[in-house]
Amino acid sequence: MMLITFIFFIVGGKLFFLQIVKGKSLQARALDQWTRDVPLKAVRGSILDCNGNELAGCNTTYTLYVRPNATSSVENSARAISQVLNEDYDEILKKISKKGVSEITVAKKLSKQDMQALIDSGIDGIYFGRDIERYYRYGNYLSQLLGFVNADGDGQAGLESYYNEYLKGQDGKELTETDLVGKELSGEISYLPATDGLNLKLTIDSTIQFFAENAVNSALSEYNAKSANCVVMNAKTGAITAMAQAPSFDLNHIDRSDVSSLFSKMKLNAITSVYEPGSTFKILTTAIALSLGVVREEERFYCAGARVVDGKRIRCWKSIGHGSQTFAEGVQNSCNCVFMALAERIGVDRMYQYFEKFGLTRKTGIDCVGETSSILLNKSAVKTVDAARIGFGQAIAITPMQLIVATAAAVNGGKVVTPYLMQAVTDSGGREVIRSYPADRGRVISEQTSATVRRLLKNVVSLGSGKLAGVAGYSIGGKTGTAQKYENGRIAAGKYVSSFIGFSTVEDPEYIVYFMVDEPMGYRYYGSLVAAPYVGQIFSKIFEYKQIKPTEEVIKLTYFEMPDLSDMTAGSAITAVNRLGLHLELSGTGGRVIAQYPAAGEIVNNNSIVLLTLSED
Amino acid sequence: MRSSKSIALNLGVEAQKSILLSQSSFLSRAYRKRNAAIISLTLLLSVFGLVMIYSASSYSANKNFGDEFYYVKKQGVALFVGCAAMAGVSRLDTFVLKKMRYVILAISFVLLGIIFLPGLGMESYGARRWINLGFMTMQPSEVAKFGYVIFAASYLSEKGARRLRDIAAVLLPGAAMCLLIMLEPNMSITMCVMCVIFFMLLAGGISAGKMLLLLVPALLLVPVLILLEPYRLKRLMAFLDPWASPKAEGYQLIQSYYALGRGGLFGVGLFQSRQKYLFLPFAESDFIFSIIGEELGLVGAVVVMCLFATLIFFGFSTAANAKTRFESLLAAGVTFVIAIQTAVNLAVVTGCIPPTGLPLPLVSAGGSSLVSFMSAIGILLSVNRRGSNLQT
Repeated sequence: MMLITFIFFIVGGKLFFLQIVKGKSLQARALDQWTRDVPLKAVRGSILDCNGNELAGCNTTYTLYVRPNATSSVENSARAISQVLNEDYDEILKKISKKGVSEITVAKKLSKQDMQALIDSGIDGIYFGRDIERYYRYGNYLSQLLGFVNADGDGQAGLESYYNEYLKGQDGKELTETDLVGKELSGEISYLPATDGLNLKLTIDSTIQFFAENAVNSALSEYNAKSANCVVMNAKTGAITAMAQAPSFDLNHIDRSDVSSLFSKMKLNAITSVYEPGSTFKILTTAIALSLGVVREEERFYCAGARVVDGKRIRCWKSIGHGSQTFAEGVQNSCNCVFMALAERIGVDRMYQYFEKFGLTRKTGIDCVGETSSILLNKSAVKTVDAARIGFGQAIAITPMQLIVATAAAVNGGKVVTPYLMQAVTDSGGREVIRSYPADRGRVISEQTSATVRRLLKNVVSLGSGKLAGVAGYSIGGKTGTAQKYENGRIAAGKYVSSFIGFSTVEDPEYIVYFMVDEPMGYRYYGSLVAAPYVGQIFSKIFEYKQIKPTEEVIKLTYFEMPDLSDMTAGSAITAVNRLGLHLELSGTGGRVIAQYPAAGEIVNNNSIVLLTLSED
Repeated sequence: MRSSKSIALNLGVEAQKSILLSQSSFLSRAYRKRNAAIISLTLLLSVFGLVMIYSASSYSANKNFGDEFYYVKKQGVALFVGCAAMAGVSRLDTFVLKKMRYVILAISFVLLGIIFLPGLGMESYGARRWINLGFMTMQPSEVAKFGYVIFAASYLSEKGARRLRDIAAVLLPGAAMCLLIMLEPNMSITMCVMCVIFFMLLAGGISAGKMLLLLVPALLLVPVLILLEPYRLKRLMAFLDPWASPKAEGYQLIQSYYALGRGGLFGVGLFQSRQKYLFLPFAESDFIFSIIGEELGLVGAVVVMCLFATLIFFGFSTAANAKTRFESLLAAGVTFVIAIQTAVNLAVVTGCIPPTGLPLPLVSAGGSSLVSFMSAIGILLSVNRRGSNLQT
């Protein structure tokens, strides 16, 4: 009696534990066996450009499942399926008569019409799953930035990955109540609807992106370069209008077999790699010096081809020297000696203070994966000689995006912007869920100083090394850069980074265009010759596309034949080019001219740039 | 009386006292009331069982036999036969049973032996437990356990359990029966019969020392059996964590848990079980209590347990008020069989002890089980009826 009573109480207690305490969690575990589900994939949100053009979208296809246990006549089903899908009856019959499986995947990637036809045929035991396939409208276009998704539709790279949470949505399910072996019970189907992903509206303008894509592709093939990179940004807001990089890859046909090659092409150089900016950095030295009042525009400097700093002789790029020149001319000539002098006047402490204000000591904060920051010498370790080199863009490594943001601040009136790519996140009805607003990170120089910088840089394009970036009738400012590359701490012979950063209009800068060619092959490696012309091309197309009217007086060009300068002494050749009023670039330090560009007899105009290759002493 | 452990004996003495003390019709009414309660509970549980069998088996019966009433019909026939048997036995003088004790014991052994004859014995799920009678099957062990109770009650009422040879006389046929059932094999019924043997000896007034002498080797036998067939240990221990082997040993218990868990406090409603859709094996027989728990909830399950407890209470009360030592032992033995099998079934379904295949008396589907339990309850009725007749 005692034993039986005892057992009854134990059982009662266990029942209470199972039914009341554990009830919910047991049910949750059991739910899985009570139902069969067909996934309802959420449609991934589209990626749109700033005008609403679709850059990345989704195709919806359907997968056909058959549950033999729920099929009343396998033959009828096979006949209907083979008719709609236009496939062999026997094959289908064999497929769906398989024993011991509760669910068979019969066909994938069906169109909506096929699915409807199968539903209309009235056969039972068939189920459809919705699949989502990502496509990129232009294929090899904006590839590094857009990124791609994996087989499950999750963003793996680029913006697809950065904004995955917004884009992916929430998958749903179609639940059918079944018995142990998968036979349907009541025929009741419950839906857990999928929530489609949100759309991502970018700041990118697909038309301007096309200009940039064309430019990087031509530059890559023309100079057989390692890479060509272009960024177009709104100088006032930081909104990225275009960002192109070659070589690239087709997002619709990704070769996942060669992962290392894919990864190298995927790397967005403009934000993930640092380089020595070279002369483009002089824009910042100019802005700092003017802001501190340590130099005046008309102040005269003398360049003898080199300057001795702390007992060390540092050469100007023009070994015969620029002679006596005003500061403004020094900027035009990109004279290293002038900027060494400025760096000395600024001093290391103030230089680093400004670097921080210009945003060179931290990431720009662009909304994309993989951004890196600059490599700067530790301030306490910077000697005067290092500071002098930093003054003209050496001994410092920054990302192109940091240079673009700092240059934008120098010319837009002194405001440091945060570059951004996402303009808005919208739902399927087009309503904005999230919107980006330009982030102002504070003022670094005064409006007045900025205006002076702009005026000086305008002269670089109208009169100096930036001539080829000019567009007749338009007001453009900018600066070239040609930097030697370092490999294992030494200068790598013949490896250069040629760049140009320009803006327009000078009076009210809106577009800032950065173009960089990494390791152009051949003797024409100067930024003025390699990068500047592409910036000019892009500006001219933007003006046409945006219907921006010319504001400047068009200087009538005179055309003439290029004289033969070969075998002349360096001195007389330089005098001859100066007399023609042409901008000159020199390669080598010797006394004789061994090659010239453009070739003798070619028709040139007074806007052309001449490159003379001198003998090696 | 010497043995304080001997419940039935003490109660029997009380019963004798009560005869001496009172001849009033008040007691006679008490016997009749007891019988009315036992009949009502029996019919209530078995009809309720019929409804639950329909709920638990209609889907699988339709799938396997094309007839959703397949089990209900069989159980209905058995219920009819069971009622007739119960009524018949209740009219029977229990002393006929006492006289025929050796015949009954012999029949029990013959039936258990027939299983092993090819053509008559039926094998299913890897065990020979049934005799195929062509039109129906029967499980001899269901009959044999009551046969043993009748024998033991008869013997012990005459000779007691004080001398070793008397103990042996009661123990040996039981042990032989256990051996035969073990060979089928049917471990759960074997265990039940073993429990019944000890209970009968206890009720028969065995001394504590001798009981221990028997119990210790019996308990030692358990690890030996496990060592002989190690798969048993694995099966035995699976109930502690069924999720360790959800597809094998733990499967059935997990499914039982799912059913109970879904039931909650008030259940999902009659016929609304989800687990009966082939998920829970033996939903209509050994695991019918899981379906009860799922459809009627904790409340329903506890009510069913209370009905059993009440039935068992009246069973023991019958034993306590029996007029003779034989009747007292008989009623106590019959009640104990019902009690131990109910308790073990509930404990298995709720995962308190290792899983064994044992039907829930009166409720689970199974014709021979129902008929033999109802016949046994008929014995209780007969004992009460005689008690009430003596009063008047």
